[in-house]
Amino acid sequence: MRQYRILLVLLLEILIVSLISDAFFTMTNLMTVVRQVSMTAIIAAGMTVVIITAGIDLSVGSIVALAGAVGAGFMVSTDSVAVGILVTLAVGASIGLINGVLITTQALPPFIVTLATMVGARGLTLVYTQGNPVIARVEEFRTIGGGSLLGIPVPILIMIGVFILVHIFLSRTRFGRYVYAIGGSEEAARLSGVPCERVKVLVYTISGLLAGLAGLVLTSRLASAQPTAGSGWELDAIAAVILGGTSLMGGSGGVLGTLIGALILGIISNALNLMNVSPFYQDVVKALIIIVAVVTDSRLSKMAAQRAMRRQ
Amino acid sequence: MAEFLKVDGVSKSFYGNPVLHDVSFTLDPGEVLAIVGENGAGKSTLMKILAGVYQPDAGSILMDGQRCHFSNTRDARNAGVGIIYQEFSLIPQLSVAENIYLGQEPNRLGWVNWNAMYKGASEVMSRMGLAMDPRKACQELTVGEQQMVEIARAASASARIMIMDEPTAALNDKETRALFELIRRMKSQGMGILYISHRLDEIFQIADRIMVIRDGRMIITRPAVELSRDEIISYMVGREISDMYPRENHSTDKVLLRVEHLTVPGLLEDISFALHAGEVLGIAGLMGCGKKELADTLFGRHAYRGTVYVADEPVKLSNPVAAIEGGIGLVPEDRKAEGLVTGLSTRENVSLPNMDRVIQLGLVSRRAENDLANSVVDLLRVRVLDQEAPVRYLSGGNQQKLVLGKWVKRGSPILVLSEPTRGIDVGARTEIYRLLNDLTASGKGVLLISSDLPEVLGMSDRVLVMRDGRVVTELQAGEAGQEKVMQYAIGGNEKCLLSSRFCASTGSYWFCFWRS
Repeated sequence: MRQYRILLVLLLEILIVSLISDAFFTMTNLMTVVRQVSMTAIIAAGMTVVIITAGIDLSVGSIVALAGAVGAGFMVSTDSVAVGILVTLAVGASIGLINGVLITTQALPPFIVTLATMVGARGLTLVYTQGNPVIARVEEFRTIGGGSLLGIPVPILIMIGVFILVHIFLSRTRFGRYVYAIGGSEEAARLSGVPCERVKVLVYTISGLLAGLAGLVLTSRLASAQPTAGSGWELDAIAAVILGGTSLMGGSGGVLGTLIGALILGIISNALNLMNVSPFYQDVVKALIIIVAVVTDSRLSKMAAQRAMRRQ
Repeated sequence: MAEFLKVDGVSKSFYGNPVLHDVSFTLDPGEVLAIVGENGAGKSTLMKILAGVYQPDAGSILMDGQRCHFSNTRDARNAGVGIIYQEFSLIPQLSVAENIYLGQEPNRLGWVNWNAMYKGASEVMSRMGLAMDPRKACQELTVGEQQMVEIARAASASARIMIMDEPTAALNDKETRALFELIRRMKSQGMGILYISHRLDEIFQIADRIMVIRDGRMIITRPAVELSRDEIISYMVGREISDMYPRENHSTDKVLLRVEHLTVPGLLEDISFALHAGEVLGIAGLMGCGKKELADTLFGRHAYRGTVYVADEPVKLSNPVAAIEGGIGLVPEDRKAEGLVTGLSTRENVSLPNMDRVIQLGLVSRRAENDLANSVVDLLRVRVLDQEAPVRYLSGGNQQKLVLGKWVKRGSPILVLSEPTRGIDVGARTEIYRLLNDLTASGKGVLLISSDLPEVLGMSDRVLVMRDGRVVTELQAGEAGQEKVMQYAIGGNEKCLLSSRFCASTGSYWFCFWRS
């Protein structure tokens, strides 16, 4: 239900922006918007899974930088694109695994653990790169961020693939169901035989892996890994998740809403650019739109809950 | 003259379940009206309507002949209705005076007027005959003193009606006497008091009139002197035990579960027993005797010493997953927090321990899930309008049926039920008992852990009585009368305590009066 409401917001937004700007509703511009959105959207897909378990992952932005830098370093030193890709993804997944293990074995709040790894991974990136970009100018590698297939940019294809896989994971697999159960009530889930610790470790590993994947796309697009890459992306991802109707309390939501949420945020930026609004104002406008959307949504869902209550 | 308080034809439903039906009564100034009834009879709901927490669906409340509309607790308070709840609501770190004035601090130009606050608090207390330093933090007070502060808070200057919901639940005898002293003082000042309690002893000491409610209806209201304890109990219950518990005997000699020398330091001490196929083994005992901990340990929630055998194979119950794989299903005491994921739907909750049955080619099959959920709904006659709606919207009885149903579908040969019918209406209870018979008929073993003694005696083949973390005796269903179980549960020869302390510690054990 929530996802349909947010889809309505997206369509309304597209309509309004098309009326305001002729340049908006063109194939080239639309592709640009989606391509720009793709990396935070990939992260937001993993973030959705984490937030459904009533957790949070603040480390994803730093993982983008660390995974990208270490992966680029290995690619250059081994002169192998495959090694570079594998290392990038492995670094991302490893940080996620560390998050998951710390959260479950030490019974620490996810906010604290991922805050620490956020700072730590950023620090490691600076140590590894000595503050300089890692140049990764390998021709075959550029297709990931810059190529296209059948006229569609590869990052968009990767994003679509990620969302389809995560959607199937959440809605049709055993572990997906466990994710919702843990977010709804961890104790009730445990007493129904859900291996809560294993599921949570898996969830943070997925989030780390997808952050690594976003780092891979970014490195490829820029042909280099920047030590400051991904700063603040965790917040963009969380914003997309919340806009998409996934509750921070856990137990409900889904990845389709998140995709729409990410697109809404991307279109706002794009529209403000097309309208020549100073970049200084853009974040303020974004913030207002997030607040309005979330307030409206919470009102509507309260009404829906009351209706459900009356029906039972 | 218009009545002091008149409640006229009040009805209330929650989610389509009627909780109160056409309840009417009056209260005079200087009178204590006791309200008694079983758990779930509607007492607390009625009091919450008077205190403005809920609004009645029908009927009216009149004070001095004036019709009152309480849309929130503040309205009720301003009209002179004070309430103290079962649970304490004091903030432990704040002082007595701060707690009394919480939310309505006297102020001067927006700043808290501390002098007025301490002076006012002292005045309220002296009016109630209490000597307490209003500057003292509430966490430094005894339980009895804290209760007095609760009452002082509810009894603001204009309070004329005081509602007390189980006020002695946490008090010892001395504190209870002090409370009664206070109630008599409030009476003499012309306040009307509505007094809810399970403890019939106390009610006969303090009440002028007694009202019995059952299944949301007012059954009788009579002066206390005209009623005997037995009469009250029969009005409260309104039925015979034998009708309520349709036990069938299916027990066999085959051992399903054997527990040997089970010990959890500080909680359980050297517990040994066997559960047979087709048997209901009841576990009785007072609160804190270890029966809840026994259920938790069998479900892998405590580290333990000793050995547990399922069908003669030793199993290690190190976590719930291990327990489930060992063939144990748990219906936990707190069904909302532990039995169900209340934000998920009927379908999803039923599937949760049954994922193996609904997964085809690695993916969850919606059709298999729906079939499974439908079969539970049909089997247990669960009233569900929309299987996709979160189960938090279902009534307690329907929720409990789902918890049972998911384990029945799992096929767990051993079921551990902890307080399976607490707070559940009579109809749903009967359905659950019927299911127990079906389960034992098909060779399952049921461990029935309950504070509802008539239930344990009525449904079990054998009963283990626990005290202080130990099994103190094993009784056959036939020989286990309520008094006998009580004596073992309380321990030794403190027979004189039977009536008061027993009911004190459990509430639902008031049945012990019945035969005595």
